[in-house]
Amino acid sequence: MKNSRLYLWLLRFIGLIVPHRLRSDWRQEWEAELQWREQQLAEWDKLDWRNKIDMLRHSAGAFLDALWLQPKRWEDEMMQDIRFGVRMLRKHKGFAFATVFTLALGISANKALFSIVKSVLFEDSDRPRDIRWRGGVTFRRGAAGLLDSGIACDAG
Amino acid sequence: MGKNYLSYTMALILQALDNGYRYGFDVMTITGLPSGTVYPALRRLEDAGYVGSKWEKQSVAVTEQRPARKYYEVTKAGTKALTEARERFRLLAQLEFPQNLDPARQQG
Repeated sequence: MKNSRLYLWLLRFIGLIVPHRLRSDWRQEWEAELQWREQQLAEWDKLDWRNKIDMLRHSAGAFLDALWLQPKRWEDEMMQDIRFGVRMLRKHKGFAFATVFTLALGISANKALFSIVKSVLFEDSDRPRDIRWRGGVTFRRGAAGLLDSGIACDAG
Repeated sequence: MGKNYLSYTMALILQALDNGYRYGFDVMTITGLPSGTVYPALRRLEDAGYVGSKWEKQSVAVTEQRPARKYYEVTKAGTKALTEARERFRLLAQLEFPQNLDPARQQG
């Protein structure tokens, strides 16, 4: 009987990787099935070494089951973190407001600054590309929106 | 791929459940699939809403001096999915599981 309980130790070991929330139900399910099988075999006087090894093999399948449950751990931890964050924000409303306000201010300032830089340096404006001086000298606006220094002067 | 699409293995397990083999070990024995296949498949079926799980009565477990076993039942959505699977897998439709037979005793 001692050898047949190896599967219980194996289940306890494998159960360590099962998400905490699901662990007790998971262990109960596996242990119940294997103990039921052990009792059935004992009733039929068929609890020999072959069937014990077979039970150990079945209990090893619990590892794949535990692996399949791993995504539920990540969901659990993510939801736990989100709930914690919301709880903290509700608890410290002043800090939450200051944080949100600072973030909003920073993002909007950044956006405004970049809009100005973009319109001045990178985009074509509605201003005439060329600046004509009396006497027929023309200064051309380059691709970057800047006046080309000392070049492209057309006479006439 | 439709909403009720099942793989052959999952359809086989669903059919075993539909035929009255409600416990994981019974499904393993009657289908010949290993435990590492059956139990994850049962979880997927449950997540998809095709089966529901319940624990057996505590009095039964106490009498037999073991933890309560979990059993699975096919839902209406599962029945619909199984019908569709039988149309795709013709052999599955012809497969008949023995009724009211203890598979573990046959194998033991």
